[in-house]
Amino acid sequence: MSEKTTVNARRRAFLLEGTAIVGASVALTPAAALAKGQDDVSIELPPVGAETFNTTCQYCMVQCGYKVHVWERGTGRKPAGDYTGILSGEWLSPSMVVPAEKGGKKVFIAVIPDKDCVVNHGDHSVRGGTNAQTLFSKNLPSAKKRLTQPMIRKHGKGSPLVAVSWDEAITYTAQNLKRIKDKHGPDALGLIWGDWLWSMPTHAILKLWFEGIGSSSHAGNGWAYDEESSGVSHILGSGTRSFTEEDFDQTALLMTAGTNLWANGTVWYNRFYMNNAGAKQIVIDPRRTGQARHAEERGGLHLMIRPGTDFILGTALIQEVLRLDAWDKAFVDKWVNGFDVLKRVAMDDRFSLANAARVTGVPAEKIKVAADLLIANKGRTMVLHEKGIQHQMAAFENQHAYSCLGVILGNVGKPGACTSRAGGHPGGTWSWPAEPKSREHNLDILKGLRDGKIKSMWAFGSNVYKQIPDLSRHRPLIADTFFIVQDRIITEMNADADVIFPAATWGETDTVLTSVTRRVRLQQKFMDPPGNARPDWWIVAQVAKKMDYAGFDWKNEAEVWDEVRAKSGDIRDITWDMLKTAGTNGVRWPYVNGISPTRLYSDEMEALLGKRFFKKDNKAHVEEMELVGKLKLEDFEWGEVNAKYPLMAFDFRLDELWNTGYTYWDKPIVSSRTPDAFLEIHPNDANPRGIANGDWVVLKSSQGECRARARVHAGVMAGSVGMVALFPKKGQEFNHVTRSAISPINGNFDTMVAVEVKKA
Amino acid sequence: MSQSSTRRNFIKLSGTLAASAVPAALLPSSAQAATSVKITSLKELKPLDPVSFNYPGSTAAVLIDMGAPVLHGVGPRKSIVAFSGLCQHMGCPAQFDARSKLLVCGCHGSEFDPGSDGRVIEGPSTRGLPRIRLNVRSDGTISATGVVNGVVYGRANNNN
Repeated sequence: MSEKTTVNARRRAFLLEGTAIVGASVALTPAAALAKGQDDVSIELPPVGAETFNTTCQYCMVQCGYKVHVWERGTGRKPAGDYTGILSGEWLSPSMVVPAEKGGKKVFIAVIPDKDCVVNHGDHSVRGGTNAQTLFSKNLPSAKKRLTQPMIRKHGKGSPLVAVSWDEAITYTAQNLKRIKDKHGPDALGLIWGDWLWSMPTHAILKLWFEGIGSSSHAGNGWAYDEESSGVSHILGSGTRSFTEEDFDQTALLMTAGTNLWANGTVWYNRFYMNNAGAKQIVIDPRRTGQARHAEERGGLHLMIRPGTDFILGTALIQEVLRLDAWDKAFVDKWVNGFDVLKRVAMDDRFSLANAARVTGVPAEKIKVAADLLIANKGRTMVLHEKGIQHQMAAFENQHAYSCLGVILGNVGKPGACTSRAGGHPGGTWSWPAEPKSREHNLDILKGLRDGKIKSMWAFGSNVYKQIPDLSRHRPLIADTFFIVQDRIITEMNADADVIFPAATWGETDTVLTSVTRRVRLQQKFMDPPGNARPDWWIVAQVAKKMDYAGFDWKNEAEVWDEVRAKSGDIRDITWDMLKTAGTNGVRWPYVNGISPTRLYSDEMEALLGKRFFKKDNKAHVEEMELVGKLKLEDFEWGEVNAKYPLMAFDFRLDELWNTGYTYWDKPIVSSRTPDAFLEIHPNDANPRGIANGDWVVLKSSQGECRARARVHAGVMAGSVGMVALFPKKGQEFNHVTRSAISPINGNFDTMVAVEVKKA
Repeated sequence: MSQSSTRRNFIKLSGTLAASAVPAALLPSSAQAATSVKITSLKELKPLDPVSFNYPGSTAAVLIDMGAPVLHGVGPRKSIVAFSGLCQHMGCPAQFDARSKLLVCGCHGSEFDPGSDGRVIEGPSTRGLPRIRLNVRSDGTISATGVVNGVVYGRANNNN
């Protein structure tokens, strides 16, 4: 044999051998798979009596129910032929089962959507359907990425990270936090936290931060304060989303603004699409999405809107409803305060059809048809809006205009009707202790960072090197702080971290998460965390105890949960045992005397809780339309469009990408859909710049730049460009381009920014 | 051009195909080899006119002459492909839309591109459609000879 043949034969043998040993570190390569006869593949199903656990998805706000089965490899069932049929929710896709290890044995772990969960009935999105592929196993890509040992930069900045014991890492952290607090005061300690991390971890860290340390320097993973809901919470008294899964089956009209529901709340949208084919949609979106296409196919509308102008469109729709004398008079007379203010503001000529069309780019005729649809379906419409209209300086006004529109049409507290944020991530945070008084003047942690006031930063289940705006500016500032990273995977944060706390993640510890539809569920532990990774709440408790704070002596998750629920009337009676018994359907809140209202702001809620709204006077308030009337577009982002930065960039979410993509590359079949970020750009903007479909382009603002592939088509309006949000590839991160601005009132990050686009 | 085909064209220019990255959970089985089933013949085919057949067993499948060379296409123009006709999401039938040249599932909207190995263009399906291996004989007979790229919906393996 020639040397080359020998090498090839050896390589081929290596590939074959590597894959014959299930438990090897790589998946089958295409060559190896074909060599083995790929049509001989077979899935093993869990045997009767396999270990079974209840959980919910590790991703989005819908929180589909899942069953997890763990069994010894080789002991499962191998049915011949087709064992299950259409829409059964029982098919075990290859996406849903992986080889792993548990208790020293080789096992399979299957994570399959629960056909008996009322949320999803066996349905799933591309994200949840591939939950299993993120599990820790020697066989899977994620294994190399997991943080498994506590580490500290023992000899300060510039020295390497060293693996140490938990005790040493905790001591090192506590000593440094105490040192900084003693020297600079508690507000020098900064925290950016994933506010959808599970309930016990968020309780622990906020207790330490506000009650223990007494620092008010903190932000969530998309907001600086308020959790983004003022536009609707100032009306109804709460930002809690107020719809149920069933509403999607029942509604007559689904109106969405700033939320691509097919991508972000997929399984809700799946229900709507399949179970409610007769209902119509109004999709308000700067992009022509698949959902927008569906809307038009079924007799509804896509309103392609100039980003940033939603408050004008919303108020123009209100004006049209007022002109036609068509609001829900009985509802408004009984329940709404401030209607006179709303009328005065909305009737202003600024919000006429003609003016609105000119500014928003939505044709007047389409705005009129939208108003007609809303009127024809008043009291039976779901008015939903979310981050697309919130991550802008006009966050409050945008949210408020659409919400007032929904409310005056009586879309509150009825089956198939709501006026609400859609949401994005599930509810992690329950108890939120009173923040220290210094918070009044300390709302923007990023400003504190820029002013040199933040001396330590704890990234708590939040990749601050991706999630915050104006990254080129903020990353070096964070690198200079005493930087604590508490996470599940290796990230770029490691290069600058002083402390690494490896966290146990979904499935490796009991966690509690609440769906946006108010179902509280236990996500059961079904495997052990890798190496020395530990639950987040435990890590926080050790630091707190080392800093001599009292009240962190919890022995297990149930004890933390008992403390969490004691602080909230809404969940006080939901015990740990109840959660275990309730399985994937969970227990809904507010849970009072054994009952929970199906829907917020309803007759049922009033009968149960003695109030309909969460405002003191039990009314809905719309007088802050005054603020909407005052807002001028050119005051903020649009005022920065000029010859140097002539285009307006906004961002949007991908169906297949969850948040900062910490599991994205673990799933080649998913990430292959979008291997690089793309920029949607109209031919009128691409052609003069010599940009063809598929070309690499550079997106540049006065903050910084990023790259993407151009997708040239009329799917966005000329003058606007759409960039994928939070894409997890170096150089393709839109947050290098975004502004260091926090929206007033709502406290949102801003991801709308004036840019130029050039061929790379 | 429809929005889906714009997206498909963009993906062709810039995307990668990882559909062949088979996860390690798929084990070689000791079951019988896939059988060969006659579907149709070259002279019966018209471009973009799908042919329904059953494979494996009585499971719905679809063969299409795409009218131009495509990935893994067979026949004189390398334009003929065949896929499992059941969506990999929840098993509803995927129908060929001649205008967009995509296989579209009517239940939850998943779209698959027969022009690039059945990959998912949009929608909740986690996987592309398994492809049916085709053999074209010298007399023009086209037969199904096996399934690649995954497991047909509703099954634990692709055996007949």
